[in-house]
Amino acid sequence: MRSAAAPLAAPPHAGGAGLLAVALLVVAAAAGAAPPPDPAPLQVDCRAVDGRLRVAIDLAPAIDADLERRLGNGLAGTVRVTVAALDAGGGAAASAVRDVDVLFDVWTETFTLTVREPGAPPASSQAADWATVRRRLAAPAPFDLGPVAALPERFTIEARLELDPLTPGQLERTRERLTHPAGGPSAGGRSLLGTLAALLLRDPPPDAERYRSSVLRRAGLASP
Amino acid sequence: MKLVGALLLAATLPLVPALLLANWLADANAGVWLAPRVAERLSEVPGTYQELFRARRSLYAEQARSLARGLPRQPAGLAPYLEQAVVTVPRLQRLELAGADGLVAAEAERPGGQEEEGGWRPVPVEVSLPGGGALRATFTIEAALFAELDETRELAETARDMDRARGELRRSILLVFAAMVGAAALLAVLLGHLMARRTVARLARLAEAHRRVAAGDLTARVEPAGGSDEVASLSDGFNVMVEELRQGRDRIVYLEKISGWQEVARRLAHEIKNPLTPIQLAFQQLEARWRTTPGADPGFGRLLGEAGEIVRQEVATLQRLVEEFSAFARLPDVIPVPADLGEFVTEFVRTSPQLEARAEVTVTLAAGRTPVALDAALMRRVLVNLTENAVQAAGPDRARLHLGVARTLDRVLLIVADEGPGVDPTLRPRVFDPYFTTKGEGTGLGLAIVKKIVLQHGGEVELGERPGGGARFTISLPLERAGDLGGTPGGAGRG
Repeated sequence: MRSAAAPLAAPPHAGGAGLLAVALLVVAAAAGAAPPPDPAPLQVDCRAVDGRLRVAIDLAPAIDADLERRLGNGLAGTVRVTVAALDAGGGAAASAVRDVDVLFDVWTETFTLTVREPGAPPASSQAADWATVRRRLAAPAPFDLGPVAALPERFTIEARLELDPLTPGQLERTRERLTHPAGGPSAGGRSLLGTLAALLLRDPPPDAERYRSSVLRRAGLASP
Repeated sequence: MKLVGALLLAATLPLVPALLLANWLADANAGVWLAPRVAERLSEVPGTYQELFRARRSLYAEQARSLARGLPRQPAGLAPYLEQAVVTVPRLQRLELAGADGLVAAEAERPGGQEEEGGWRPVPVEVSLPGGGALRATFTIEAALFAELDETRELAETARDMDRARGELRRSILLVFAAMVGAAALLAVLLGHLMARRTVARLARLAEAHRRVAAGDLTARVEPAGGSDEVASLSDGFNVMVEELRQGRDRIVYLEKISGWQEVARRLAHEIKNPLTPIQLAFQQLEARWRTTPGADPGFGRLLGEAGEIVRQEVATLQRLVEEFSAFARLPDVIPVPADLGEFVTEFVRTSPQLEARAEVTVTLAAGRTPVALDAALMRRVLVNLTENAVQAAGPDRARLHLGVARTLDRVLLIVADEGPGVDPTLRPRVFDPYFTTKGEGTGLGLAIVKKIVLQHGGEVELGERPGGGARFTISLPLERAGDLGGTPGGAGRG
């Protein structure tokens, strides 16, 4: 199977008026000026376990052929799933995040999955084919969203699936490349402008697919 | 404010094209590092290696099957066959033939042993044999391929990360650029404001001085601001102009005053002169009648004689006053002609024997020519009046006079100094006023005449103190630039 590289985003095109606005306001053009699309429907199974909310989600609609192509090309990819309980105003009352690193070994032609989440050691496993990977990504282990008592009476569950988010380490490496354009501290030649640019470098806005459940009631949470 | 506004506009207007250029450069630069085609091709490299690995495995499997098909039937031929195979088949490291019972029937390994660990990776292949058993082959594949794959994968992942950060990279670069340009613009505005404020303040002082001059205050001056810019030049020029105006006004005022006093002197002389002769004649008649009267009282005769003496003395005094007033009133206007002041002073001393008799005179001249425009007769009168004052100030002693001629860039100076008692500083502002005198006798017109003549020459005269004691009069005349001394010393005026 030949993995096709995921098409990279073309440089954003900024019209003359937008550039003039940047020049006058002295601020780079804000990304994502257009409002985000509405989230797709999300199937969830919420349960109260020992007073804590456990949420199982179905991400099957998100695991598509494009994802297979981008995760099966032999480059290390990361799927970040963020699950949040939202109140009526759209604020996150509770949230949990889990990263799944997927690497297709072009020699053994098998997948290695490593699950990383706060408060737990990384857990690695092997998958012989994409179908196995798909099953595990589509039905991840339930997420712990904290005490049920902290939830609002009415809430929705939103899941965000993001592919290859910049990790703090990657951002730091990017900053390092800006600061030492010649290639690392050992190569010398620290750039003053690069250092300033590195200081101003921030996390890019998340490019995530969003899924949202219907409104749920805290009182209606089932217990196992 | 307009000046500050102009500076602000000049400082910030280049921001627009600068930011446009920075935006384009950042984008173009990012496009060079992260050219989508380059990143895309990099991400396809692992797939290429996968194809290579599959091809190798496929090749090795086919080679193993081919070896299995060629196995000799006789057991004695198996070992030689395997030994030959490991030598002739490329990248075949080891062969092992297992029987149906699982026991190894024959095996062979490439001579020379294992390659240096880390240089190759084993690729095992097993082919099942028709009669049971299996032929197990161990091929090798270059470990360097995996190293290259790892490096390429790392590069491709880096390119992908950088692409994710492209937007933020561009933003942060633009922010740095904008901050630098903004800081430069702010600095330019601050400096411009400081410079403009200083310049505006200097212009405001100049405007205030101008307003005072327009209101008639010719003492207004602009403080020296230093520097050599246009405002400093304007200020210096203003000060020079106002000083010339003041001097010109003072000159006109004084000449008008002198003119007024000359008219008074003319009338006084006329009014005083008229009765003097009748007074003298009347007394002469009285004396004549007494002399011819027989039996006149001798005491009355002596009294008449004493009174007659008094009348004659006072009439003579009044006549002298009338002469001085008349001379003052008839003072002519200056008609200057080119002359050399040094030669004039030398000639004056030479032709003033009465001065030599009463005073010790020293003359100091300038090194070069001292051309001026001179009315010799009137300027001689100036020197007569000044030297006469100096001789009188010495009292009974022989006076010591110092006459000097000097030259500056555009003026010629004539200095008359004595070693007398000098003039009280409180009285100096009045010495040139008509009828002002510190002596018991005299009309007080001498120095007024001096000043009138000097002013009409376009010059100035001032009274100061001689270093070491005594009075010092300094007459400043314009330097005659033509330098062509057309006349003899003393000029062609009223010589």
